[in-house]
Amino acid sequence: MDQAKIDQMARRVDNLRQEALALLEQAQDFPALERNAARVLACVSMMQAGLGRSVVANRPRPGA
Amino acid sequence: MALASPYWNPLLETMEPQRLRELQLKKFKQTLAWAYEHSAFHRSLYQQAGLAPQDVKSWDDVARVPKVDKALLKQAQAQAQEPFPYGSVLSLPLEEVAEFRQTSGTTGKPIYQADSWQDWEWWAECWCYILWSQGYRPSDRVFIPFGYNIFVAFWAGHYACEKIGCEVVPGGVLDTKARVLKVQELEATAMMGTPTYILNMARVARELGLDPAELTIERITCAGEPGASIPATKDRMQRAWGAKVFDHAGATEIGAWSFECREQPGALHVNQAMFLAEIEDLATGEIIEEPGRRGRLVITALDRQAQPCVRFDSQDIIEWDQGSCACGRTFRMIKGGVVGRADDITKVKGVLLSPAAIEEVVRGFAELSDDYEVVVQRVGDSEKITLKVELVPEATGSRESVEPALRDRLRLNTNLGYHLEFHPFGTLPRYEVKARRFKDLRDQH
Repeated sequence: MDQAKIDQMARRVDNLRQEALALLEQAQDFPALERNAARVLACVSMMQAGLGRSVVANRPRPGA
Repeated sequence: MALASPYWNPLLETMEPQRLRELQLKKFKQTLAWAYEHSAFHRSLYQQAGLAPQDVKSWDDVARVPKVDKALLKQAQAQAQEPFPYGSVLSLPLEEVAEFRQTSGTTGKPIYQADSWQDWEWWAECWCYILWSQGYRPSDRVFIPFGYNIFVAFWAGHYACEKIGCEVVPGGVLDTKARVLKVQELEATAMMGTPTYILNMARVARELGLDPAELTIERITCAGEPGASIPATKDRMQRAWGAKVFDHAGATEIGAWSFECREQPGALHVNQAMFLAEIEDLATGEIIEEPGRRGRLVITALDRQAQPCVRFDSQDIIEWDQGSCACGRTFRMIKGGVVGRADDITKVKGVLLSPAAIEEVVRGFAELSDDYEVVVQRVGDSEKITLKVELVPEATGSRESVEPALRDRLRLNTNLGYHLEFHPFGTLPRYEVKARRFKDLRDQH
């Protein structure tokens, strides 16, 4: 596969993770957003794994 | 368009083998470090062996990491039940556990298995590799005739179908007759089951006056028993349903680690992007890299969080295949799938006997029904193997020709002689999901 395309997709996935983590933190008093953000993070982890990253240490709680 | 891709993950499934090995080593180190830091059970195991995660730098170091087996996990959960019920193997706070499953406990107390939501996504992801390679696409209507319970079985297959975009029909608490009728009513295109159950469904369909091969099932994914990799059993299922039958191997403590692709190469691909599979010589413990030598599977689930699976001795007997697959995947293959279990292979009359070898012979006779039973007994100072079979109704008069041919093929395949018993059709035990056809009664005297 085209390495430049892989790198670009990896950057987008990293951005998704950052956004989801920020949302999770911001939504601590808003279960409907916080729990869905946690689920999004699990999906994002699978995208990272799909790009060859290790995700075993990924956690849905900031600072955990 | 993604649908045109023959691979679920074109990056990893076609990765150059050396790069794949590098990825595995990197992930193994991180998985080991995770287990060491977060699981008291693993930390204690490694400390007793004088090993720290940073000591593992090369493949030689990997082979020195202590193995874990069912007995150790059971012992750990029995000794330290907190956090309840997983004990010291748990690597996350309890509130991050999203799924409970347990092993069947056929060899004693079950193992309780925790998964985080990320682990559950991982399970489904592993199954996506399997199902995509077997041709599952969003246009499929997949019927899942499974009891949706505490056993992992086809749960992740269900979630993977959703992820792929298939329409999923959960066949939960329906009985077999209702399931067959639902397959017919909804014109399902695919389904999943153990080989025993797939054959059982075909029998029930015929009892209902239906020819299962005339129904709309195009592909069937099997698990739980080795049958889909035993050519004669696979052939029976394929002919019965007029469908392609695929095998896959997985376990509660491990994950879904290997699969047969659409090419049906007589081997299963190991998902090397998600698992590190090592084959260990049964006698010496040496790691086998070359094809053609059987050994036991020692496996690591890369990235599994809540209850790490690091160098787990699965008892599965496998061997590397030497060929490459026409599908283009670079994942290594294991020849003939899981060919037995170290705890299944037993010595009878001084000869190593695998129940799968008997199944291959029996299922190769069209005159014999799907059901049979093997009983090993001690008679005086010797041992006796009795094979009980049934002739199908259409072959009632063929015992004279079947019996000597069966005896010869058994001798050829297993190097053993058998006492053959022919029972009336329908009188041997029928199994719903997983069959227990091999009965070793030698210790009962």
